[in-house]
Amino acid sequence: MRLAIGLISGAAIAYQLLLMRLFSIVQWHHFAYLVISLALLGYGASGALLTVMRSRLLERFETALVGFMALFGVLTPLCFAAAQRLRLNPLEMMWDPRQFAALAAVYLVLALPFVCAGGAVGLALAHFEDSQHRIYQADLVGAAAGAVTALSALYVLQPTSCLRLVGSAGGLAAVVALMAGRGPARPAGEPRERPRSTAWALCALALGVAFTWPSAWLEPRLSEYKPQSRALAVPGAEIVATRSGPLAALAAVRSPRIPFRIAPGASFAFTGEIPEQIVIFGDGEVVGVVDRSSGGTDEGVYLDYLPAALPFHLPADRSRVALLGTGPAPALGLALRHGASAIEAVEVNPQLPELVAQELADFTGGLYDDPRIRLHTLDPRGFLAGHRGPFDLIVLPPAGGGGEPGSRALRESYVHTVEAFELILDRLSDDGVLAVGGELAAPPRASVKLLATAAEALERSGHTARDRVAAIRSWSHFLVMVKRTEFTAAEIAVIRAFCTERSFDVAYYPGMLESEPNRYNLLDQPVLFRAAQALLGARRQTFTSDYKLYVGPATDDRPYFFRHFRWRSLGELLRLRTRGGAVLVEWSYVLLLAALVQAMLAAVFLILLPLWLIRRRSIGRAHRVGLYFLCLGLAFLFLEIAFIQRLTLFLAHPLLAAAVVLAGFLLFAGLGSGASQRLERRYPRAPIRVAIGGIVLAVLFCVALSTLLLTHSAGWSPWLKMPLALLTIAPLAFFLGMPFPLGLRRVTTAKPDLVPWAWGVNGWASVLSAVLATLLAVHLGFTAVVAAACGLYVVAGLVAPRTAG
Amino acid sequence: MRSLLLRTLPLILLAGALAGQDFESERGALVEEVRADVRYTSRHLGRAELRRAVLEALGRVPRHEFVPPDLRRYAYENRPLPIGYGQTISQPYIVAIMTDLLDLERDDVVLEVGTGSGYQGAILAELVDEVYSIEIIPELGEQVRERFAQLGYDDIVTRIGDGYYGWPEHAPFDAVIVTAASGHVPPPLIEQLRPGGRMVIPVGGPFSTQQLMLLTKTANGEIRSRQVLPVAFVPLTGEH
Repeated sequence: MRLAIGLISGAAIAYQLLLMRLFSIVQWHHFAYLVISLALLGYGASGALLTVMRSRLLERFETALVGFMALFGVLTPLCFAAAQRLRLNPLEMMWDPRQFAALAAVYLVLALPFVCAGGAVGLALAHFEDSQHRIYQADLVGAAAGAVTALSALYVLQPTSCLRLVGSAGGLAAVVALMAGRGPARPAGEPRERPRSTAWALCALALGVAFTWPSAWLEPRLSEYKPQSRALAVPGAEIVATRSGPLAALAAVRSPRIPFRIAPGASFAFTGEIPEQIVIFGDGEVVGVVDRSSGGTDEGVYLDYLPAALPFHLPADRSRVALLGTGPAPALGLALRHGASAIEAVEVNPQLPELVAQELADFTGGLYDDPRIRLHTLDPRGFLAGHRGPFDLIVLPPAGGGGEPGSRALRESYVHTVEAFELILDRLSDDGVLAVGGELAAPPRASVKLLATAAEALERSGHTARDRVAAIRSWSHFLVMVKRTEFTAAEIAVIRAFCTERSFDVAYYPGMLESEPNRYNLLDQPVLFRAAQALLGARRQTFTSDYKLYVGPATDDRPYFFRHFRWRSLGELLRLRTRGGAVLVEWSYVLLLAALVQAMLAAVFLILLPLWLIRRRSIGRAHRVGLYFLCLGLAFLFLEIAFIQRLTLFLAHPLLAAAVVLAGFLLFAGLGSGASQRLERRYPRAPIRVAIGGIVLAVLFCVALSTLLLTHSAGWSPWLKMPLALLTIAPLAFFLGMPFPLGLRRVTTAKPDLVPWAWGVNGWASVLSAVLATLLAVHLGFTAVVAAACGLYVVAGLVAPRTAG
Repeated sequence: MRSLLLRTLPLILLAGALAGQDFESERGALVEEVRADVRYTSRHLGRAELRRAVLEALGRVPRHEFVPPDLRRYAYENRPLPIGYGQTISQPYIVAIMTDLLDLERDDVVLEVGTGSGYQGAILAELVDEVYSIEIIPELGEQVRERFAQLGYDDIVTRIGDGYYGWPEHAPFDAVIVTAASGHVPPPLIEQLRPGGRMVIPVGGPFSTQQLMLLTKTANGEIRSRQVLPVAFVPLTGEH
């Protein structure tokens, strides 16, 4: 039976990870938060269902259990296909309230398989009263295996094939449960329930649906507003190569009849032709452009008319260049064109350079075969930690634009933080330059935030900020340059000449006068110049707190560089909704809040209503039970999310971190759950408080060790880092697995009717947790998330349910 | 019979609702709304009121004819609406500002790159005698050609194809609107702009115009750009 529970739990987490991937493709990345919360909403709903129908379901335990598992298998592909047919367009949310109804419908449809998975586990917990810790252990260990399997499978299979596998895992779990039900592993003295033909039929249906469901119905349908969809609407445009992996679905698109002509911020002085380009889309957004000039031929002359070209025109040698996640163009083309002899190209997703080097090799003339280029497939922070340089130029990925406005507000970036800038400054040569550009938004946001980040990093490194920063802007793009030495008069002269020749404006350089900016591309005010003056001087704090958008520097603790939203501006922006204000509301925030509101509403139906129903059966003291499982649900995910963040930096890869932390947390928590009964035997008076004391101590150990590892792990092999990461989280996860089964055991003894309800409360709290953890991290930082988790565990210890009698 | 009734009932109800809709008075209300909205942004536009001719054009063009039938009841709400193929019909407020920025005279020749629904082109045609419009997506281009013919916008000349090279046969243009610039203004369009001419480029996503770029060509052929913010949201405060 435990194998069946492990299978269904593994399938459920795999379904969750798969939905996060599919929604990043179909819609946008921040749908991941909604997926996490809807998964756990499903678990919450299953608790409510079990609470209300407990006795009836327990009477037909085997059929009900098999039914839940088989239904999971049937619903997995069916619900995804149905959700794709609902007309949801998040871009319209600010204009059309009906979109919230569409979102709720998608939400409810996709939550159904989770209701089934949660129902199966919750029912097993209620049925096997004496071995709840074993069931919970199987649940956690199965989930760990499911997470790792799903992430690995995404490398070799298309998401649609993975969806079939998940569905069939549900069917398989049902078969295993049915087989197990015929064996001896049943509570003693309980009459054997005869396996029913309907149960077998359900198993067959689940497996049949998983394998025969038409592929066309499961194929992810990109939003028609994504750049890839719009590009493919052009006559003659076609996909020439694809790659699919857990980080992105890549598609290289060629448009021979009406060519792409991507030249970010190109000067009006450029009057030539842009060479033929192939655009690479990742999850429907532009992630790279290659052209026939990528090897630096004469056709690439347009590159010199981009703001990004400026660092290559500065006087000193730029032969050692590091490109941190910039993709193939324009930085790589510029580096080759300007004679860089050692180019370190760092890409976190290995499939992007693979696609360019293999399928597009003929088009680019073997771009990555150039002996001057060394490719590194790891996180930019990991590269910086392991490579001391020095570099003459380090280029970062764009800090502005890229995707729908505001769509990246909740996306972490560890390369645009103060700590990253400090590290980069340390890796630069004496004349070395850090360059980062982006689209110029109105009012300015990313450009201003970059200046604040640079100023903070320079000062932390012991430098005066105002002499080491320069910025320019074209009609649509900006470029900020940072040095660890002062900009020289010769360099400033080059910057000014570069701008004059291209009708660009100098936004800031040391010693610049207010009369100089705003000549060619007029803004209402020379806003970037004034921002630079304030941020690089003594008025930084006042400026950032007065600015209506959030432009304070991002840090490793709050790595949300693309978040500019400020609550205090929300009222004004909503008042200006039809007057251009709607676009300034970062709608990934709106979605996050929609998830929060949804979770609160769900609480009424899933938590309070079942409680009211069972209260009629005179069950008292539910509030203590509710509060206990609420705290556990909130705190467990708080810690999981916070440590994924910490270990992303250590492991230098977001996916690796997610896999290690998810699997590690669940696996060791499973072991902890298994050991909970021993703890209870050893400390019969207060096992929960002992477990919680262990959690608090383990958190301190985990934080201290991860900090130590982060500081001293430069250049360590990932094969060493992975077991170290697992060892770091092992003690914490082990203790985290204990409070739930310990608490549940006490509820079982005292008030067995409350067991499914407690399961539901825990599930609902997890819904809230995923959303709240993000909000807390954005506004207060991950340290606050960890502290809040510890506080919640202490509260849980104080209100822990007591044993009967 | 029952399923037939169920299928047709929504259409009957929709038709009934639309039949009762007074598009003309809704259009009048929309013009007033846009006029009020513009006052809020007067600081950025450099004027307190839009030109009277622009508002009158907005009051004449039947926007409901330019949106898909199932969205007609929202046609006079001041918001963008989807028209298919990943495109939208722009928010009337933005259309009004863009048109106003072009500073048109009746005998001006205007080029529009990105016909879309045709609504912007129709507004332009109310103000000038010659409008040339290029659409890249064939299906949209065909739809709009029929729409213009039905509505009597015979002065708008349309073409399906690549707008990058402009329309040299009808150049020079006094004004150009480009809706798909993606960080790069096509040099042929700059070349086809008459000295003293104006070009407007909306920047942003399909449902979210972030800003408007106004390019002017000086008498000696140089280009100057101005960023126009269509929102009265001033992030800088106090002494900054």
